[in-house]
Amino acid sequence: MSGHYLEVDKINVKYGDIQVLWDASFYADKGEIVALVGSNGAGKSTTVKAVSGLVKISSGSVVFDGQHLEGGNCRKFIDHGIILCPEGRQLFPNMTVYENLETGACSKEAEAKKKETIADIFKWFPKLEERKNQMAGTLSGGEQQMVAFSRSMMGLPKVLLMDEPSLGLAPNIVDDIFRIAKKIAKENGLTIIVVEQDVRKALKFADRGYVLENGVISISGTSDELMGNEEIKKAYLGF
Amino acid sequence: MISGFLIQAIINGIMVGGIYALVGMSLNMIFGVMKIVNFCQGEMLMVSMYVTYLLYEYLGLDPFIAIPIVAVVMFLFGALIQTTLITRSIKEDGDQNVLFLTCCLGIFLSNVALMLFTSDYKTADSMFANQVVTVAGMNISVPRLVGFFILCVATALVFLMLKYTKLGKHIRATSQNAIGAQVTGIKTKVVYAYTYGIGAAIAGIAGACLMSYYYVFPSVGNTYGTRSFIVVTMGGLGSTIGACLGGLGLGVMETVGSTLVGAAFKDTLVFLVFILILVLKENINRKKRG
Ligand SMILES: Nc1ncnc2c1ncn2[C@@H]1O[C@H](COP(=O)(O)OP(=O)(O)OP(=O)(O)O)[C@@H](O)[C@H]1O
Ligand SMILES: [Mg+2]
Repeated sequence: MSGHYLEVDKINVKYGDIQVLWDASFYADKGEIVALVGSNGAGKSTTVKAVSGLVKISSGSVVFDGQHLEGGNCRKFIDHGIILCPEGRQLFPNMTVYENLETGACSKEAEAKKKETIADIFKWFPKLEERKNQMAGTLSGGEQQMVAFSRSMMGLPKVLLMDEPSLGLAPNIVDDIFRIAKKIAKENGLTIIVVEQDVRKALKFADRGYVLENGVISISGTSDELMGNEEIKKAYLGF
Repeated sequence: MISGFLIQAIINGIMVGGIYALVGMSLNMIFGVMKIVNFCQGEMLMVSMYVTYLLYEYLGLDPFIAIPIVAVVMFLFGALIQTTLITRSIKEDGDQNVLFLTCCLGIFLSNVALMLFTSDYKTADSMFANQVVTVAGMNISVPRLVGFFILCVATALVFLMLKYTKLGKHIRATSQNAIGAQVTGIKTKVVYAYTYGIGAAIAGIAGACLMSYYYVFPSVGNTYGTRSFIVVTMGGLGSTIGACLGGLGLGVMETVGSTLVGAAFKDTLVFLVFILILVLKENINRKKRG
């Protein structure tokens, strides 16, 4: 192995008899932002679920920081610092913003640093501090995404997997979240893997990217390379 | 004097309703977290009543004193059932499996009770047995009063636990979004075991209180199981406050009903009202949907 921070090697995922991910391999280094793009049903969510332990892989390996991680147990991945911010946010609607955040701090370390992390979060998103006692379900979509991102950050991730953070949100809010995430990545060495359908936005945010088509990784390269790629231009960037 | 009878009936109803409320609440909690309707909650109550009886018979423990022991025993029993049987029978798509399992488990438990204890009524006297206080001309049975007080305390404790403790937050989180709970690192399986255990413990507290003025027999869970379903349907499946109010409402309806139309028709009245509520609720919901 070449020894990248996170190394995903030839993973296959099946739901029952149906295989949806075929020999997917990719990697991410410390502090790097990697985009995973592709059309609906390509298997993007499945990929990040596999890397965060939410679904089991049938073969292949996920190696993080030299350690082999077995799937099917989300908590173990979280304890290693791999945290998924899932598609559709998956907040606790009848719990307050503050309670949602608190719940994100599950490891001993994260719990010990809870207050500091929350202070950081309120600095990034002052809106959330205003709303901290409001039920999460009553927030706007943008605010909910801020809570989802922040809840994941409460667990002190080393690798953050973001599944379609832009879904249904106004562009300026997405830009805000990406800007903050990028800052954390570059200053604190957080590795981010972002799944997006908005390919342009994703590649602008990321350092490198992979294109997933029908469960197979078909193209990879730096963001600039991908932006210049004729196939991607035609299929995803619309010109 | 008629109104005196009525007030007396209402007071009695509230006390009986306390049991329904508590069993309904435990049913609700299990449904909220695991999305399964636990058809053997009434039998859990029955088991706890036998535990109370055994503690009385062999150790001479007063039912009220036995409450902590009964609660712990029932918690362990519930958690054991959840981890050994229920987890294994939950399928991801559809849950008829679990539904049948809890049904069968209920029947199984009452038959085991029949085998061990026969169908004789068993009682456990409390120190307050047959004591009555008279307030403003109304006679109130002391065990019922103490029982009701304990039920109120138990309800309050459950609320506080859910609101402020880490476990309570994890239970609420899991019930509101199971995927969200998993990705935040909540051990959902542990939460399920605790929830089922707490549900059984709540039924246990209700059972011990009930034992102080009532008797146990193998099918006693039937009455209370059915009642608790009525309660959660009245109050809305998933709503804790709804279950409390529904329980008290049902209790009052029963006692007032038997005062007005006679004890023999009590059940007729209860189920008539239940059916009406179901029909009306569906109508209201349909109107809401437009
Ligand atoms: N739990 C499941 N059971 C069966 N099939 C599933 C399951 N989850 C996803 N699939 C299938 O796997 C394929 C990939 O799904 P996935 O959610 O990973 O796609 P995606 O790239 O994230 O799509 P989208 O952009 O719509 O979110 C789809 O064909 C989907 O129908
Ligand atoms: Mg997806």
